[in-house]
Amino acid sequence: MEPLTQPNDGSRPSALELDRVLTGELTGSDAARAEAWIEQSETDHLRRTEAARDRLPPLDLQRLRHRAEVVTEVEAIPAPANSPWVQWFGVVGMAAALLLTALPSAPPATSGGSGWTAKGSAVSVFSLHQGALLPYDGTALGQGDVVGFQVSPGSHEALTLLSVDGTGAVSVFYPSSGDQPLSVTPGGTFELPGTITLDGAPGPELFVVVWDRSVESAEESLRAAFVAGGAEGVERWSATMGDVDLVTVQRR
Amino acid sequence: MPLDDHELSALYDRYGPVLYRRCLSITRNDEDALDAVQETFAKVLRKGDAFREESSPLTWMYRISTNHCLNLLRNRRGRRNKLEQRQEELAPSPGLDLEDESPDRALVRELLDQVDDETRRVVVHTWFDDCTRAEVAELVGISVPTVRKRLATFLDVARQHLSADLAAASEAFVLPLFALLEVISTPWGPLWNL
Repeated sequence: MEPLTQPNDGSRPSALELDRVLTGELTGSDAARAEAWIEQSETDHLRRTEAARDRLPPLDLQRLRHRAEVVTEVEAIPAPANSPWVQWFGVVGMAAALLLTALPSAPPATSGGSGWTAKGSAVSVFSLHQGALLPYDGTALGQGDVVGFQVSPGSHEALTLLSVDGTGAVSVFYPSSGDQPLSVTPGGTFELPGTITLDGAPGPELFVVVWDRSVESAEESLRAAFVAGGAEGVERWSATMGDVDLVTVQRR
Repeated sequence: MPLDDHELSALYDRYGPVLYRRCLSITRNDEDALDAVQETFAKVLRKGDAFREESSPLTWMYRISTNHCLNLLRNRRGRRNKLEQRQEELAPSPGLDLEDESPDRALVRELLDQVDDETRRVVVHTWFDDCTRAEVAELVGISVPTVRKRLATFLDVARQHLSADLAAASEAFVLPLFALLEVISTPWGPLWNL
């Protein structure tokens, strides 16, 4: 017994063929079979398409142009280095690195102890321990744990701090409201006001600082990066973008 | 030359409804379907001049929206696994009358995460778009024999899944039967012990 119905053997037009007729891509003799099908037996396809036309929101050009910018960003995210060839070259690369230990090495793009990472030093996370905010040491945090943040804006003038948890849920923490990012003073290092109490979401939770963009832009880019590649996609996106910094917090 | 607003609006009016209907049938979620339509048109916008040269813009859009729908499904499955208590987020969208859910599609969607990316795309074009093998080959960018292999792989996965389901169903039926036999007493003890 076949668990599924037989695939289309060409005896009927596919949804693609029907849609090409409905959108005017197929015309004349090329469309004859599908047109006959639509008229005789597949009126449901037409009905559902018309219902979709009624329900589809009008095009928001401004939003679409912004989304196109996000697409550009996400497409710039390098693919994960997980192919056998890349792994092989990685082994060769490590051997070469061992031979070149006499050369000075560049600072790593990612730092941190077991289970947590922070790109650069522009954002640091602190966790509340016995009444004091101490540098986060990578231990898994759970519901009710309290964290705070320290940022080094460099030349940036505004930030949005947001997070995406293991389920893909995006939350904006700074600014606390509105679409304007939180203004910061360029240069120096300072703590962001207040603290955040963690909920029970599964991890890892990636806290992301996006500099000098609208909150909407930051939120949409983070969501798109997660959709494209999960937590790893967000990490690669952060590593690619000069205006995005990230710190990962493990969750219980 | 980039697509202007007028051109984009015309493309959206022409292709938006069929894409939306199709994405809704794949994701079974209104928000995700609209997101996939947005993503597809954002990529149209980004492609600009090259998009005008597509011999079948709809075929290209099918391909792009399939990838995005599969990413959304993968993320949603992760969410379902981790957050069972947030059922309301996972329930099908209201008003899914645009697309009647067939048992085929429900099973296919359930099994998608058990196969690789290429097979997923083959499967979606086969059971959601009802495409022929030749159309699937063109959409995915592989040969027809490879499409056959991918479908065979997926059918094996489906058979195993159904066998496991049948076994579980038999167990669910047989165990209560054994319990019933145990409580039916005979003069020599429970019937089951005879």
